[in-house]
Amino acid sequence: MRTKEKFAYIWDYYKLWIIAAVCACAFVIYMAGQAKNALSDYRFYVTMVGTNAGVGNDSKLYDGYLQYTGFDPLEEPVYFDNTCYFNYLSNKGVGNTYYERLVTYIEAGVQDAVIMEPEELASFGESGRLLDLEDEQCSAIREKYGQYFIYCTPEDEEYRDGSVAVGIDVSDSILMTEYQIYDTGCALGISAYSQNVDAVEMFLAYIFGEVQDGQ
Amino acid sequence: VQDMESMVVRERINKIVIYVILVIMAIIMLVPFAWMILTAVKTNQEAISVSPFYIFPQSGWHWENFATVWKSYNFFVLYKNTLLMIFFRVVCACLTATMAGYAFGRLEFPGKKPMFALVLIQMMIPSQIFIIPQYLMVSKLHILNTTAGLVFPGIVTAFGTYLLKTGYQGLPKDLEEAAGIDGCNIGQRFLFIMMPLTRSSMVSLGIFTALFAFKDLMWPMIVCTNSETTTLSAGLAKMQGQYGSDYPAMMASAVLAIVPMVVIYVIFQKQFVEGIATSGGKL
Repeated sequence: MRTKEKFAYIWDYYKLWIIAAVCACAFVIYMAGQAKNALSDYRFYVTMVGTNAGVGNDSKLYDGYLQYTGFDPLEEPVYFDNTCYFNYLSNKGVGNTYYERLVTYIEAGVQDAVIMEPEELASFGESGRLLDLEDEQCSAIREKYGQYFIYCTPEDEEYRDGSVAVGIDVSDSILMTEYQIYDTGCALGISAYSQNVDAVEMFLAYIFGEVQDGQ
Repeated sequence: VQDMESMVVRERINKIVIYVILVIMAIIMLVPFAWMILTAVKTNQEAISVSPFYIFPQSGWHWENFATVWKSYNFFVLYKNTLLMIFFRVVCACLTATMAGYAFGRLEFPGKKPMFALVLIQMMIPSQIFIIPQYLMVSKLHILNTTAGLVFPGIVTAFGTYLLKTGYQGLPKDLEEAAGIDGCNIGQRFLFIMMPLTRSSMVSLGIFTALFAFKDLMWPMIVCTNSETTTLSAGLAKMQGQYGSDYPAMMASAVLAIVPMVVIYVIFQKQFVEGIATSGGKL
C-alpha cells in the first residue's frame, strides 16, 4: 500500500476524529492565548452613575489619576466607568441592566467606588452595598473627610436604630469644579466588598487636589 | 344553490377579515423597524420632531450617519466578537446538550432522576441568580475581556439538555438494539446511530442559542469592559452614553447591529421556522 493510499485509508475511517481533535486543539490554543493576554484584577474600579461627562478611560481625569498614583495600567488596571445609567431614586434600578451590572461588580468585589448625586447615593447606601465609613479600614478617610460624610439609615434591621456613613460629599472636588459631572452635586461611596480602599483614598486625594508626598 | 353562494360569500368575508387583521398586525410589527431606519437617515432636529408629517426625512436622506457611527465605533471588531461568541456558544451548547440528552434519555445509571431534577431546577431559577458566581469563576480563571469569557455561561445549557433528552426519548429503541447486535458500543451507537437522528432538535437548539447569544446584553456588558472585546449589544449600550441625544446616530448603530441577524435569518429562514415549530418555543 502506497503512502497516499495509507493516508486516504486513515482519512476515510478516522476523519471525524481527526477533525474533532484539530478543532479541540485549535480551541485550547486560542483560549490559552486569550487567557494569557487577559486583564489581571482591577487595582481601582470606579463607576460614575448617570453622567454624560467625558470622564471615562480616555479622559484627562483618568490620565491624571494614573499619573498621580503611578499605577501601571498593564500591571494594575484602573477603570473609570462612565457608561452606567439608572435612577435609583425613581425605581431602585429594578429591571435596569446597568444597575444589575453595578450590583454584580459590588457583590463580586470588583467595584471599589461609586459616584452618584448625593441624595441618590444616600438612598443607594440604604441597601447595605456601600461600606460603613466608620469601619476600621476607613480610619484615614474618616480623619480627612469626616466633615463631608453623608449618612443614611440602612434597610438592614441590624443598623436600623442609627444612621451609617455611606458616602463622602465630593461636590468641592474637580469632579464638579472642572468636569461638572452632575448638575447639583456629587458624592462617592465605597463598595462594601472593596479590596482597594487605599486606591479609593488616593482617588479622593487626587480629586481634592492634594499634593502627594515627594511631589 | 343559494346556500352554497351564501357560504362562499361568508368564507370570502371571513378571509378578508383575517387578512385585514394580519395586515394590521404586520404593520404594528414593522413600524418600529421602519421608524428605526427612517430615523437613522434624518437630521437630529427631524428625529426629535413629533410632527407626524416628518415621517420621512425632509432635508434629504443622511446616509452619512452610518459612516459617522461606523468610524466612531469599530463595527468590524463588534461583528467579529459577536459572531465568534455565537459560533462557540452554538458548538458548545450542541455538543454538551446532545451528550447529556443522550445520557438522560437513553441510558440507565444511578442518580439519573435526581440529576435530571437538578437540570430542571436550573431552568426554573432566574438567570440573574447565576451571574455573580459565573462572573467570579470567569474572573478567577482570568478570562475577563476574552471570547472565552463571553462563551462561558453558554457552554452548558439546561434547556438544551431537556430538548435533546426529549428528542432521544422519541427515537425507537430497535435502532439502538440493532446497532448493539451489530457490535456497536455505547459511544458508536451514540455517535453514528442516535446523534444523526436528532438533527432537527439540534438545529432548534442551535437557532435558540444563536438568538439568545445575539440578544444577550447583561453578560457581555459585565465581562467585557474593553471595547476591543465587546459584542454588538454591549457596544450599542455604550454608544447610548456617547450619542445620548443624537438619535439618528443611535438608530444608525441599531440598524448596523441587526444586519448580521437579518442576513442569518434570510439564509436559514426555513430552519428557523421549523426549529420554532419543533421546540414549541418563542423568539
